[in-house]
Amino acid sequence: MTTNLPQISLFILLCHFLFVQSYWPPIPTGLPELQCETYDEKDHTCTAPTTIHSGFYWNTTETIVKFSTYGDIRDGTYCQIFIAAKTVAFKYSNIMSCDIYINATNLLIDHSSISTTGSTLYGKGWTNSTDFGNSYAAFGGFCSNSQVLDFTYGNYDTPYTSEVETYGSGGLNSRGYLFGFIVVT
Amino acid sequence: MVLLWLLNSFSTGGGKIVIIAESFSLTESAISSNGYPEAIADCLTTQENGGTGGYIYIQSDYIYPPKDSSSFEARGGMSCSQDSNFFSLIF
Repeated sequence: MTTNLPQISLFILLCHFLFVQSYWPPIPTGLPELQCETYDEKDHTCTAPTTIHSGFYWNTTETIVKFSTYGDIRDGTYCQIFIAAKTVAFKYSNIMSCDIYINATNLLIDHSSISTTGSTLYGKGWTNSTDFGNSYAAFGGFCSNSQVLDFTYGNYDTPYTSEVETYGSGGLNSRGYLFGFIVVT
Repeated sequence: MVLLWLLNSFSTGGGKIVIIAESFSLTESAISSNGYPEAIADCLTTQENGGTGGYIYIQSDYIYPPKDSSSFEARGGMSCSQDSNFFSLIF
């Protein structure tokens, strides 16, 4: 009996590699390093500035990084945030970025908003609908988490309908087949 | 998934949030990657589609139960829709 085990193993290895790579892409060239407001050498603690104007990376895994920071950097040249640290803490922070990657042993988010919400209606790639006033609602996004959270959702599940217009979003639409994605692993 | 990521590269769409943490505590906070706009668009002036919802991936050994109105959101951008001309995304 022949076996395909080597091929299967190689395929699994390749899939794993692609999976990991896709979740943690390389840090973009030119992305500046986070400039700490203060750095405590004894505790290896970086306190980030109260405002940020650009994306950044922090890749020192034995450190603690604290944010009480505001910044909308979605339209900046560098809008990504990459953070790899032992502990990352956001408190009373409001950060809007285009992509955010955090790899930490401990992550605390307290009274904060971490967002990668779209910033403009006129992004390229979207086409106008044919009739004046018409436009199409969007697909819901993709949420996944390792534990069941009741309020995790990837779509609006309540359509809004008036007598003359039907509104929708990523979720249900009274005339469409729109749906979001929720994956709980 | 690849298609969704391509959609997200447009500025109307939500971006990506990837969190990998052994322990994760969330208190009175929001993690969001919504499409734009987040409110219903004006049908009289708007002809653009809403942006697609973004992508949130959280990998954690232990998530402290999020407290007090914390949320994860990856909603599609609202719009003014009178038709259904959509395609399916299959993952």
